[in-house]
Amino acid sequence: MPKIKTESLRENMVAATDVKNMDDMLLIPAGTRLTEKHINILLTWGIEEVVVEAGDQVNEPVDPLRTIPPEMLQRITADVRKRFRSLDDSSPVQQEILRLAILRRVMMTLAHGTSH
Amino acid sequence: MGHPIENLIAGVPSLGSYASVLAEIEAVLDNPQSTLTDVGEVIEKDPDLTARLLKLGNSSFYGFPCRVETVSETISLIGIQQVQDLITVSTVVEIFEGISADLVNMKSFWQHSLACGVAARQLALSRRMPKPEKLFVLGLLHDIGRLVLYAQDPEKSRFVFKAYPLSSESLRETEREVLGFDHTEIGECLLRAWNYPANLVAGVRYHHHPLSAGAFQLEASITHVADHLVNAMQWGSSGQRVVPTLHDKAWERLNLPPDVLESVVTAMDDQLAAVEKAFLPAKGGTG
Repeated sequence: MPKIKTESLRENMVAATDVKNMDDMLLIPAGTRLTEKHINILLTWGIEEVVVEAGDQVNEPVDPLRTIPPEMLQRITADVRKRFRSLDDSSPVQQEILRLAILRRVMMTLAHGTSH
Repeated sequence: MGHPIENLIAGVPSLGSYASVLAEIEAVLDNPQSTLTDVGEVIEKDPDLTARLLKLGNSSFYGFPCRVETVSETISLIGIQQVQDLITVSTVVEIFEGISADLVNMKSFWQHSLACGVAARQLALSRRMPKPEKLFVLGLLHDIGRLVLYAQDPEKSRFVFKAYPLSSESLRETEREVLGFDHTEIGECLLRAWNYPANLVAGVRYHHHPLSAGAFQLEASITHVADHLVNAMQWGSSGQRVVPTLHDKAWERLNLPPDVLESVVTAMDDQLAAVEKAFLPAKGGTG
């Protein structure tokens, strides 16, 4: 599993092992999904690196909305839009929620091999 | 014969089996000499409640860096008010056990409600609001009026579902057509009868039109946004088939940038399972 320098950690990476300070006090238990607060704690204690779960690479994850076949994205988008009672295409917050809902449906489709 | 809503809530038990625990905690808190350990001891008399609190205290919902092992430790970390809120929530879940499965899938209903609670709390945390647990309770109870209706008048509830069209209408409108009132009014009436604080009563009553909530527009707006988000993401269901309309003015009331929603959703993925384990009755007597 990859060891990542503390300053390169990102939110949502998952600690693969317990992280302790020099006095053996537990700072972050294994399995914790890191938040900004956790990373600040690690920096405060001078922890230099953390083992994170495989797959939590430093690179930005690939946006699945850009990698799936366009016709599949189109079908899912139409499906998800139908569920909304009303949608204002000029409202940034409504567009963000629509994007998150489509993203979720895409992830589920990729995981289960069906969009229903 | 009173008002139809009053008749409905007259049949709801005032509090479940945790009522005595809550009363005992109040008594301990009234005594200036009592300590957190005393409060912890009251709760520890109830093994089921103790297990729930410790489960929650050690879950990603709070994300504490060390394990909590006693109830008094949990109280000192999350605060006595929050512990009381959590006990109340457990009470409510218990009161509505046993609603007919042909009316509502209770698991799905509570998943929707818990998700709404978690989302509301996350939004409150993003705004750095004091006492974010209040918003958890509010989100969790926002549709409580529906449960009162299903539990107290299954026959009328069936009329509502029969009349609920497949078109993009909201279930609330069908309730109004069939009953002459809707679940938000039933919820308001119940929480008043339970002496809930005014911000929770208003939040439940106005979660579909939060700008009418007077002094409690912020609470109602957060619940409104959380309800919309949870419906959009399809976390459980309270019987509603469409995603209710989001009022942009309510969102603006939160004063948050839209990209905060992605971190709310990510946090929820982590917390939902933990919260469900702590609050939902485990089937088959395990857990």
